[in-house]
Amino acid sequence: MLELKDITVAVGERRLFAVKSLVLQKGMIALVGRNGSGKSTFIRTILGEHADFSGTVLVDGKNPESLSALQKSRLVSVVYSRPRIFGNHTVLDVLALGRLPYQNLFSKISAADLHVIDQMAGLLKIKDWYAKSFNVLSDGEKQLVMIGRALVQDTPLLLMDEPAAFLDVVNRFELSVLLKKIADETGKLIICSTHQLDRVEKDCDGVLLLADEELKLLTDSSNFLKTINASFGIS
Amino acid sequence: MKIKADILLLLAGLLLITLLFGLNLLIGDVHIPWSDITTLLSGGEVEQKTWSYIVESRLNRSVAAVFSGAALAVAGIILQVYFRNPLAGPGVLGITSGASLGVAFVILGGAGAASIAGGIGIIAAGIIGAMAVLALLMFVSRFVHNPVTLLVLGLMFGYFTSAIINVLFLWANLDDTREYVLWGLGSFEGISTENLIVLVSVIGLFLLMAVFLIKPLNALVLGSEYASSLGVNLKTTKLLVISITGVLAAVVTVYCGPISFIGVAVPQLVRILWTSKNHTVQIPAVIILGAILALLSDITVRLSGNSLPLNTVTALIGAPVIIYTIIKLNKRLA
Repeated sequence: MLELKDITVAVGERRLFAVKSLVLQKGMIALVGRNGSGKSTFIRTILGEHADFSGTVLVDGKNPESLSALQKSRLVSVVYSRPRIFGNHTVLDVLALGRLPYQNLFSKISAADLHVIDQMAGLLKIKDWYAKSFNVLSDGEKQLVMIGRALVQDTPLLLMDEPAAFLDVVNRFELSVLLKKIADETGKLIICSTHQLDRVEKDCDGVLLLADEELKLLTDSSNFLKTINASFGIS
Repeated sequence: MKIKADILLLLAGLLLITLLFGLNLLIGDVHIPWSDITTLLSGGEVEQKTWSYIVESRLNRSVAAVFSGAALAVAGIILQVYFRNPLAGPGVLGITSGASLGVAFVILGGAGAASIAGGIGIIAAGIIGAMAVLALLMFVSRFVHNPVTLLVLGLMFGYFTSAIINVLFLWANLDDTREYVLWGLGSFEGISTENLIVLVSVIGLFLLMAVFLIKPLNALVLGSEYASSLGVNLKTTKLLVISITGVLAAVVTVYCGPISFIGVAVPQLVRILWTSKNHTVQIPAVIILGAILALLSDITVRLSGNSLPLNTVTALIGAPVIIYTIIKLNKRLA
C-alpha cells in the first residue's frame, strides 16, 4: 500500500529524516517522534503536499505528486487534530462529506453512500448521533465523528495527525483501542502520529520511530516501549 | 435529511418572487390596471401611450432587483464559506468598494455612463477593482485567522477607497460629481433596457458557473486541508471564487450602485430556514431569498415615493441580522 525508497526529507536547509526502504501493507501503525522531528511533514509528504524531499514515495504503486486531488482522495483519507466546521451541520451531514469524492457535480447522496455511512457509523457505534448537531458534541465525540468521516471516504490508507491531541485520558484510551479494531476489521493501513505511548505495545502492529534524523519501523511489539525510550534517551 | 421541506420552501420562495414582481409592476403614482399591464407586457398597445414607458421602467427595475439580489447573495455565501466567516460578504469585505473605485475613475475621469466607450470601460473598471480587492483579501487572509479582524480589514479597504474617491472629486467637474454621488446611493431605478440585458446575461452566466463550486463549498466547511483531502483542487477553486464573486458583485455595483447588507444577511437567513447543508440546495435558496429581499427593498423604496435611498432600506433589514450573527459568534467563541 505504502512504499518509500531512499527518502530524505528536508524543510529548507534543515534535514528532517531519512529512510532507506519502507513497505507497509495494512494494520495499525503509530508514528512516534519528538516535537519537530517531522511527523506532520511525513504525513504531508505521503499526501504529496510536501515537495522538499528526494527519493520515491508510492501510494498503491503511484507517485502521489502525479495524482490529481480527486484520485488521491480515493486512496488516502486524513484526520487532523482539531475538528472545526463552518455551519450548523448534523453528525450525518459531516459523515456524508466523506462520500464527496464519489459524487457528481451536485453532491447527491445515493443509497450506496448511505449504506457505507451506516456501516462505518455502526463500527464506531455512533449511529444514534445522526440527528445531533456537530457543534454541541464534546471534543472526543467530534473527533470520533471525524474518524467516521475518514472511514466513510473508504480509502485503503488512513493518515491521522495527532487525532488525540485535544482528548482526555479516557477518550485517548478508547480511541487507541478503537483504531486497532478498525485496522483489524477493515484491513486498512492506518498511520497515526501520537505522543501517547502507554498503549502502543497492545494496540499497534508497528511503530514508525522518528529519531536522530532517521525513520525506523519497529515490528517487535514486546520491545516497542524499550526501543522508543532508549532512542529518546529516557529510561 | 428533510429534503422535501427544503424543496417546498424553494417553491414557496419562487411563488413569493412572482407575487412581489407583479406587485412592483402594479404599485406607483400612476395607477395602471393589471389588464393593461399584461397587454403591454405581451407586446400589445393600450389607450394611454405613455403607460408603456412607465411599465417598461417598472419592469426593468424589478428585473434588475431580482438579478442583483440573487447575485449579491450568491457572492455572499461563496465568500462566507471560502473565508469560513459568517460576517463575510461583497459589501463588508470591501469588494463593492473596489468596484466603486473603478467606476469612480471612469465617471469622474469624464467618460459618462451613457457613452458606449464609457459603458464598457465602467464594467471593466468595476470588475478589475473588485477582483483586485479579492486577491488582496486572499493574500491577507493567510495571516489573519480571526473572523472579525478580516471584517475590520474589509471596512478599512472601504474607507481607503472612499478617501481616494474624495481626492478624485478635486479634479472632477460638477456634473460628473453629481452623477457619481447619485449612483453611490444605490438604486434599481432608471436602468436602460440595453444595460439590463447586459446585467441579466452576465449575472445569469456567472450564477450558472457557481454549479462548479457546489462540491468545493460542501468540502470547504471543514477547512482547506480537509477539502483538499476530499479531492477539491484548491487552486481551481480559488480562481473560481475570485472570478465568480468578483464579476457578480462588480456588475451589480456598476449598474445599481454599491448595495450593502443583502450579500451578508441572505446566507445567514438561508442557514436558519433551510435544513440541507448541500450547496445544491443552499445556492438556489440564496438566489431566491436574495431576489425576494431585493424586491421587497425596492417596493419599500417606491412606497416612500422614491425618497428613501435603497441602502437605507437594505440596512434596516440587514444590520439586525449581522448583529444577531456577531452575538451568536461570540457565544460560540467564548
